[in-house]
Amino acid sequence: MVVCMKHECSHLDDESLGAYVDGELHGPAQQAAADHLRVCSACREAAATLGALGSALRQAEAPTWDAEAMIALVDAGISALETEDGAMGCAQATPLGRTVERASRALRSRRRLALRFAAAAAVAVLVFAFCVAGYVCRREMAAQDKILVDSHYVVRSGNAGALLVSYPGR
Amino acid sequence: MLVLLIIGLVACLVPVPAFGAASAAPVAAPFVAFELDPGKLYELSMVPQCDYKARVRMWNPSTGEVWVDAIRMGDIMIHSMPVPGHLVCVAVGYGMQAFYTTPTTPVGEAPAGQLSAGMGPVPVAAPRMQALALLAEPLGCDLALLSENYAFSLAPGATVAGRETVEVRVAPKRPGNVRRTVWVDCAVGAALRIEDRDYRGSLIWLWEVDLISFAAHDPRMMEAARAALSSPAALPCAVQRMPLDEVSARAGFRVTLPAWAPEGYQLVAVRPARVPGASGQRGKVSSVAGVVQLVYSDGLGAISLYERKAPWWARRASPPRLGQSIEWEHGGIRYVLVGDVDPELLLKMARSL
Repeated sequence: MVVCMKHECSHLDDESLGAYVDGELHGPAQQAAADHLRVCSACREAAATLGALGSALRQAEAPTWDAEAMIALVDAGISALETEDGAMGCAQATPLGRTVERASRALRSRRRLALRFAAAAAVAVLVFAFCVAGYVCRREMAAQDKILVDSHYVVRSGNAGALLVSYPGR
Repeated sequence: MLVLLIIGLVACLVPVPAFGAASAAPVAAPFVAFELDPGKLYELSMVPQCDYKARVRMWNPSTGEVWVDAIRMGDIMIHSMPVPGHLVCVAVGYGMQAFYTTPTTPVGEAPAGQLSAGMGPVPVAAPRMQALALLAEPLGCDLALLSENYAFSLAPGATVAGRETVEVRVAPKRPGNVRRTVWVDCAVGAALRIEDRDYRGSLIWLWEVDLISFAAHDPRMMEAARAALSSPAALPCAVQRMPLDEVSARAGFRVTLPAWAPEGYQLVAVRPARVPGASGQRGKVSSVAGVVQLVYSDGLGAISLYERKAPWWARRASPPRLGQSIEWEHGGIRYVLVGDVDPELLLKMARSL
């Protein structure tokens, strides 16, 4: 869990590091991360940066988010990182770069999620409209059934009265 | 027996006093009482051999109480109902029927007899007008079918509209069917009251003379009726029985017949029906179009089967369930089956579709 398989090194991966800093690891996983941080200065430094960033964020006032600008900024950061050195291992990556990359992944994931949500919502609205139209139509048909039943009694009234006026045997 | 019948027919022609004096009228010899064949008396009561003018109260569970004026003169019978400024009339005679309006203003001030389109669009107050218009439909005139499925008997009758009557009871030969009672005027043989009750004994139809006069009638009404009956708008008196293929083509779906109908019932009418809408508690229900109506009758009872196509977005198959009216859906077609018979019979008929 704590080994970064992508870069074939034994550093803590981003998720584990973030979870450790946020106190979300427990039991053996938490122990293994702590053991690693004791012997790995790079990860310790990254953990310290993350901790400082988290503290700063917690103390900061709620910002007004400009989602488009933020996405553009993240995209620009990703492009810059990719052009610098695509094969750079986690040992060479700066903590800021990893943080930005992690944030950009989260944003892209959210965008995908938002798109899926919008599509699902559109389908749901269509299904709902279909159901409502069907329900309204069925109610109308049920009301019409009542009119048809009434119509039968009018017809059978004619049945009785007809004999009075039109019997051809006269 | 024959002698009594002749006496009875002669008695029909005896002039009877006018309106208001009816109760004091000298009643002719009681020609009908328990002497005539009940079936013949029933037939005679439906087509009385005398002219009269009457105010009639009609009732059924659908339209409620409706009052109409009835005039019979010679071969013409007129039922009319007043609307503001006009009388809406339905006339039957010479094998024809006409549905028309005539102004209530005196002759000379307005044209007598403005025809509407036969039995077509009903002008105002649709259910009441429909009840009036359908008085001309000869559905249920098949006395042979009636005699096959019903038995006639006589009983002493009460006084109706101030006149002595005898009761003709028309009872079904098979259980679960309608029964009818007709109060027949002892003096002239005209029906003064007709009651139809379903298999449970609930009233489903009432036709009752409130006032009757045997005096001379309104010549203007007769003139308008004759004009209407000889106009192109008049229609032959016939029950509409279209071929299934034709009615299916008109309706846009294949009309199907039930494989089983209660014993004694025959298919007597097949026709497209456009039923006017109605105002309910939750607003107005639109008119019902594209409906095909099949009517089964045993001479007195009637069963209507309505078929119409359900919109594709509102289809939901549902089985028929026991009831006095049965609504169900199958194969995209919505069915309504309603009749006067035992619901068990209706359900069996519905399931045979």
